[in-house]
Amino acid sequence: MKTLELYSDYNELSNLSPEQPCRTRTLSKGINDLITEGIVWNGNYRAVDNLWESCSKPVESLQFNVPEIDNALPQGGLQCGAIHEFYYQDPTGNVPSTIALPTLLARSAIDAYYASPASAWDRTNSGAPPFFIAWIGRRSWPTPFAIPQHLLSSCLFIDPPDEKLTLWAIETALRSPLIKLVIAECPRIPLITTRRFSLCAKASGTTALLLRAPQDLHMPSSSATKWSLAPLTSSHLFPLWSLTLERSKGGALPNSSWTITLESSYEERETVSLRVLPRMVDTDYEEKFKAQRFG
Amino acid sequence: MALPLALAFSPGAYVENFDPIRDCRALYKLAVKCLRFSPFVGLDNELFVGRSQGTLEETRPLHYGITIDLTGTDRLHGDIDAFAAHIQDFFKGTAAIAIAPTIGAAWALSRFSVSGAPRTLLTRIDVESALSPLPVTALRIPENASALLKDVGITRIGDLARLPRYTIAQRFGKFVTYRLEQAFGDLEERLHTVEETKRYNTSRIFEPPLTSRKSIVIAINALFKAVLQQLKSNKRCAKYFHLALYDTQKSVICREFPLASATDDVTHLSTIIEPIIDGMHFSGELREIAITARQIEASRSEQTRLSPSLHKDAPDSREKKELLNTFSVRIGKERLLFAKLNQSYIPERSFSYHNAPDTITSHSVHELIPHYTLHERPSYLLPTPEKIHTISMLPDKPPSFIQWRGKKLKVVTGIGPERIAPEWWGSSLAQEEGVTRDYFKVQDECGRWLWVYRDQTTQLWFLHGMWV
Repeated sequence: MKTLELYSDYNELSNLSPEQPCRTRTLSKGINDLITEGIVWNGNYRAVDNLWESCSKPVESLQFNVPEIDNALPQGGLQCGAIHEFYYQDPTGNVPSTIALPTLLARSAIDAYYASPASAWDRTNSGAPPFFIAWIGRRSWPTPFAIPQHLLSSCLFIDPPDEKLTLWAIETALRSPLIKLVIAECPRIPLITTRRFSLCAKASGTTALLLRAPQDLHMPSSSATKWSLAPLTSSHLFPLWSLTLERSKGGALPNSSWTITLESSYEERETVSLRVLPRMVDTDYEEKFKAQRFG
Repeated sequence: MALPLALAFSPGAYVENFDPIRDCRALYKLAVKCLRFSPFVGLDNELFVGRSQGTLEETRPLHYGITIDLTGTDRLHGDIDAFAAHIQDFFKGTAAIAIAPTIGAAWALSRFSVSGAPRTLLTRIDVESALSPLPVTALRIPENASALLKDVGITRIGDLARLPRYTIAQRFGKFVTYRLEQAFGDLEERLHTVEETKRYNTSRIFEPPLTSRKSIVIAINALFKAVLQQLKSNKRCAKYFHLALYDTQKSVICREFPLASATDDVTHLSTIIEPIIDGMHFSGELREIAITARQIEASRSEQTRLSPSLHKDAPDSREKKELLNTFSVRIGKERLLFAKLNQSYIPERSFSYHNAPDTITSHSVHELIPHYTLHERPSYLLPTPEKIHTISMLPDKPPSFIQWRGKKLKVVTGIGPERIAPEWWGSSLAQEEGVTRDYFKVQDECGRWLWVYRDQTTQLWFLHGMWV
């Protein structure tokens, strides 16, 4: 039965173009290997089990679910098992780092899990996803009502008392295969520490989103990507940010800045999605708007 | 007699409220102390039933007694009268004592015997003659049954014993027959025994005192192993460990290990405690090391997985517990939190943090706040609303200028007001003090969106959150 399902999967997969996300590519590659070895057709259950395991491996990238941004990244999203840094360029300071974007990525991670074949097995067992999403540092915690319900139940909020324990908590969380995503408000750390984090992340497959102070943007670090985010003034009645990809390991940056906003519809109230707006350079319009309002 | 009347008779008498639960607990402790006389010491079944069903106040005071099974133990104390005298001494002469071949007979004689000295019956033949002059209530039957017996003129056990048993069962209920037969020893009776609560602690005194760090660490690990062995052999696990190190200068180093979930696993606990013990400073000479396990729970044996070949990535709940314990011991239980949504419109009350993952049953935002999308609430809420200075047009225009934390922000756009009124249906209506708030979503000239509100009673402005 299982073999038959896999066969039909394979028929679909063999037609895939190389632009498809990594997970499906490895899956088809896995099947190809098995076919050349001739074990799938023999009904060898061990081989099928191994294949099942390879399917259930975590997805290898974390998507924004926006093609403009995802396609600019070499893995078709944020690489899993690596660290990514976010710098919130607040013009006046004393504002916590960005929170909406990590929340969105956490949601994308959990949605990817629910869409994967492994989740069906887990959900028949326990119901809850078998991993946590750790938020380290109180200033990185989003308000719980801004988190969708199915994500909230697997969120773990950690509030370390000092910087030393913050670093310890980030590392412990990164070492654990049970934590899928670590979102941490990170103090100023040297290159060696980021390298240490990267190695931990690589070993366990955990992804880290470090929210760092904008002053540290040009400090050396071993993160896979660096993003900076700044609020944008606009005439729209919703928050608008400019998202810049400052650095991406192994990726070219043709157009690395976007104007983004978050939106949710009344039909699906718990869904918040990212939308990329066309670059707005119409400053005249804004001036006009201001004049109209406060003139 | 009413209390004021009684106080009038004996002024200055010590009065305390009747607290059956406390009495019951005290009696249990006393029964545990009686374990020195025999391995089986019991309390009346009625007390256990009353305690579990919460009907202890209706339980008759006669049931507050201790039953000791002394089968085979009397020869340790000489003969049986000497044994009774022993128990009499133990209670300092305040207890009414009877020794009988059946529980029912001993119960009746101890409660209803006239003489103060201990009554001792040795054989079952004596039981009938000893019980027959006693009232029927001595049979531990409910009050309505004894009233029924009284109606037909049966007041003594002797009268009841003369009747054929099947007619008793038919007319007065099966229970009367049971109790009668139990008293006479025709029917078995089980004793509800008490158990000593087991303490899980180990300590070791060192002579000569320990000085080297290596030997201290080895000793601590060995003691932890010993405590866990105790726990494991009793199928228990503990949630809290306390380590105390006493040195020769009589100063104590204490370290607590509050776990997020109970454990009895040596390897798991050692992975958690080892880094902490590594970081501890020992100075001077250690005289004694003591470890106590508290918050004992029954351990459950769980099947780890059905088929090991399938899906190795499925994490064990055990692994989850280990992860939580690692965090909990290092940074404290109160700093490791899970969130839960509450049914409230007031922003800071609409969620709460808990430190136990199991107790959380949360509703979805969709159910709780029906007419909002997620995005209409700020992604970051300040821990407490912060006071700001504003310039705004009355009655309900958004502010055009904000001073927050000493910084002046010019407001470009504003949406609002959205009024959030106190929840009149809430139980703590008096605490609310009318915190009607008018919320505005404003954009400053840098493009940040802030969530500010005006308190309707004081007309002061506060910043509550932001979209970041």
